[in-house]
Amino acid sequence: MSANWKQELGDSIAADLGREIDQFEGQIDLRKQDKIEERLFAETRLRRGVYGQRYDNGKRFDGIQTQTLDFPEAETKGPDTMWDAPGMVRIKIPFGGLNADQMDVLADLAEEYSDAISHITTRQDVQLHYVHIDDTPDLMRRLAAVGITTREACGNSVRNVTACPLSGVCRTESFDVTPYAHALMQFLLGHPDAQDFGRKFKIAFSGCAHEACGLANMHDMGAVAVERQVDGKTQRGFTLYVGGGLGAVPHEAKIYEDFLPEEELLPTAQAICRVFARLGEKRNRARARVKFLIAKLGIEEFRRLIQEERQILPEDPAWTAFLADLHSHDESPLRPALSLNGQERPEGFDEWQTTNVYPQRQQGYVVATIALPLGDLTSDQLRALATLCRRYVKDTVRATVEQNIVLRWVSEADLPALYSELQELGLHQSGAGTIVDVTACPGTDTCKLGISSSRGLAAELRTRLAAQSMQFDQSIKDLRIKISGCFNSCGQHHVADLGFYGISRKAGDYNVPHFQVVLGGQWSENAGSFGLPMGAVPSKQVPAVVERLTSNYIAEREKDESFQAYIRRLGKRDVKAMLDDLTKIPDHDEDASFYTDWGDTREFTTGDMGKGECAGEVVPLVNFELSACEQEALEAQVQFDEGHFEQAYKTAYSAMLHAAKALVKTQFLDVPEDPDTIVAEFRTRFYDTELFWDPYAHGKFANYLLRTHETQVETYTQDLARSLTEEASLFIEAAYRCFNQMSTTPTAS
Amino acid sequence: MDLHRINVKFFLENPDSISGEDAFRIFNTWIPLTTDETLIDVADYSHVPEGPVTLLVGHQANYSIDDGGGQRGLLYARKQALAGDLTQRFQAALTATLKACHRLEKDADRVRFRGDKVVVVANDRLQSPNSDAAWEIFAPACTAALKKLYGAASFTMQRSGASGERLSAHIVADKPVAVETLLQNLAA
Repeated sequence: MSANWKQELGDSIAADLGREIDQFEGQIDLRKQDKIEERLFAETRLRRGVYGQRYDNGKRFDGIQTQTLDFPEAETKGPDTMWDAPGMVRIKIPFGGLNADQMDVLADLAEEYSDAISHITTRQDVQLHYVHIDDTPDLMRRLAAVGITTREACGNSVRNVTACPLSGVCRTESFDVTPYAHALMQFLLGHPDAQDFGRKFKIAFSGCAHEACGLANMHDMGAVAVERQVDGKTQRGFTLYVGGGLGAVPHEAKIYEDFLPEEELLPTAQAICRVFARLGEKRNRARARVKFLIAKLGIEEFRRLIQEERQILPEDPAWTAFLADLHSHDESPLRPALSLNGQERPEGFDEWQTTNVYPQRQQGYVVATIALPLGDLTSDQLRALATLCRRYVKDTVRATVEQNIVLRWVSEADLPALYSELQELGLHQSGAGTIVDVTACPGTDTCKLGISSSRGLAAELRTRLAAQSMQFDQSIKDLRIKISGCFNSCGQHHVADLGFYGISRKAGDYNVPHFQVVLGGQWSENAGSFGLPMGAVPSKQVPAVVERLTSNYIAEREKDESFQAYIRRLGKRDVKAMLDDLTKIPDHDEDASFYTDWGDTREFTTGDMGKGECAGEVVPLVNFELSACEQEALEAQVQFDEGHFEQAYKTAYSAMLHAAKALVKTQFLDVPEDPDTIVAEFRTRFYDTELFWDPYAHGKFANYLLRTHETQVETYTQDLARSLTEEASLFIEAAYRCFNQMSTTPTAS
Repeated sequence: MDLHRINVKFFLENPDSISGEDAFRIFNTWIPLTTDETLIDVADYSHVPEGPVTLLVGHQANYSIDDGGGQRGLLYARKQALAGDLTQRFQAALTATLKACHRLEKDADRVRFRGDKVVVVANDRLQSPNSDAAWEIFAPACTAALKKLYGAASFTMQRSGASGERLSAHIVADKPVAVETLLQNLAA
């Protein structure tokens, strides 16, 4: 029996992933000893996917008054964030792709560290809630052993790269975007040019322009697959969109280029990252997404800057290396392609097949959607689903932005048997992609920014709509409902036919949970257009709002009129009039139910809201790098204590070199890795200029590095190692002082 | 065996005696009134079949009205370290679960738990993998705790947990026994 997961998993973790997790564990220890500043630690953990949760400030409203939660540990893991408060771990699943082994591990982790529930997000991630931060390094190791990372799942970084869950099997796509999404994800993960953003950066891929799947129009960068003919040859590329986004102020993306050749995808993304890092807003968090930069500069100037940046990028073989290996992501079926002929159909199968099954372009195969209520499934379900995957398909599973899971390459003939097995697991719900399949962000359940209960409302609507779904006209079935707990749009309410986002209204002395109604958004055409806000209704009236809107649409629509067109024709005034009576709030004495939220029994409050961590903490990149150097210096001390003097000496030198590089990078972004260049640049830029200068010791600390770099050591003695480990710590301290001094010294604009 | 993450589940006599909403309301009152451990939040998972219907999240442990395995009961999931040897840790987990059952019986009129049936799960695949070797350590320590729990009453314990699932034991006593009696046995 191993003493810990690190030992147990050993070589099954890729070396670089293992090292990163060890470093994070070291940073947890340093924070516990108060040796890392809390803002820096907060952004560090966010970039590792470790997020805060509601009540982590140690306060919770119990329905009568706000109570203090008595967490044992006084230390914090971020501003106003208690160490012992459980948090969320966001697990990046690039393009939603999962295999059975990964599903097994996710199920295990949810059981052991969370609440036995895995939650699929609206960006194809998996989230585990109520996780203690001390458990996160082992959780990450176990994920790493099956090829999953949480790195940059949160914080001001490139978030999960999403893609159409039908990529590769879709009947209308130009080509399979999976290898491109994977390559871009790998390329930007931890890339130095993607570490200094003012806010997050989201990328999505779609195989075609007309379906919804990729939602390219609402992303910071959206790539839609296109092909063109050049000299009789088919050339692959992408229509590249930039600057889309939802949030409080939704922005439709702008076309950066109609046809970006496939070999230009990665360098262009890199150039965009550089420009965003350099020119993006850093102080005003509400205007720090790239959409605001594009709005400020104009798309033409933004394009010019990107093109200019692209020209000066140092050549990188990774830009095109993946193109030689595009077929490595090709999938194959497990079972022969057989059609569904005359087989016995279990009860409920036909309805499920109508809504949850998509015939692939490959004859005889289908995609089966597992519709998950609120995106949740238990560990038992997830593990059993992994077993089904092994039985029916070959690791061809994807999470979707509609918070479902799809099994691809299911032989049509297997559908009845698969359905029966799903039925035993409670995973057979029909209505995927219909009005029943309500999407919701976590909202007040776990999010610090949640105002009203998006999940509570979604559960209520789902229950009511499912009961009536058989009677619905097809045009109603085809509508989509999406709910966010606040204006930040994690539930993607702007692109739903019927969207709702949480707000609060005052009635006398009480706060009353409400939702703003947003109607007529377009899910197809890659989230083609955004809905219009129509006014606020009490949470408890939202089911009645849905009922009225859908029945009036059926009654009043003109021939073949879409819901979007119907809402546009009616206009805001008529819609408001239609819903007017539903906006009224009864007195508390008359009906107290209006004063509690769905899925909660407490009297409603907005007092539980905290400071969100979506925006992360803006910490200069150099601080991250110096923090890593500090840890390296600490490692050198440990090596020294264990008697490994040569190792200690070399690690201490490396720590100083990296600290010097971090400083040089503030002036020279592309400083190469080789020590001679780093030291030369450091000497020119910081020593000769006396920037790295102590008022009393002058150039002494800089000389620790300069001297060591020139020294040829023959024997690594204890004394030599001791003095260098001590000097490394002093050098890093001096580097921090130098950077702080630079940051506060006024410079000519 | 350095096992601390121990799950214990006692079952309801009548599964319909408490709804998810009732449990939510009651658990919510426990948060400010509990002083010997830190309780944090209540979560509603009633939309998930055979899952944690209503979850009371704590720092030391989570409690839930749980439908796992198709049988409703109260599930205790220990998260933080417990004191003592393995038998003492099993006893501590059993005691905490039974105290919560007893509290729920007092707070909800119709709720009664079956004392004669309990499941104990090793919720730590590193310290207690689902292997014969781990069972060799788990079983005697758990049996010792169960002897204290049931006193003179006899019981049977069966290993359960299929491959991939956690090491666990299903225990059935030979006659009905009240939660209060079990608590007295453990305290003796």
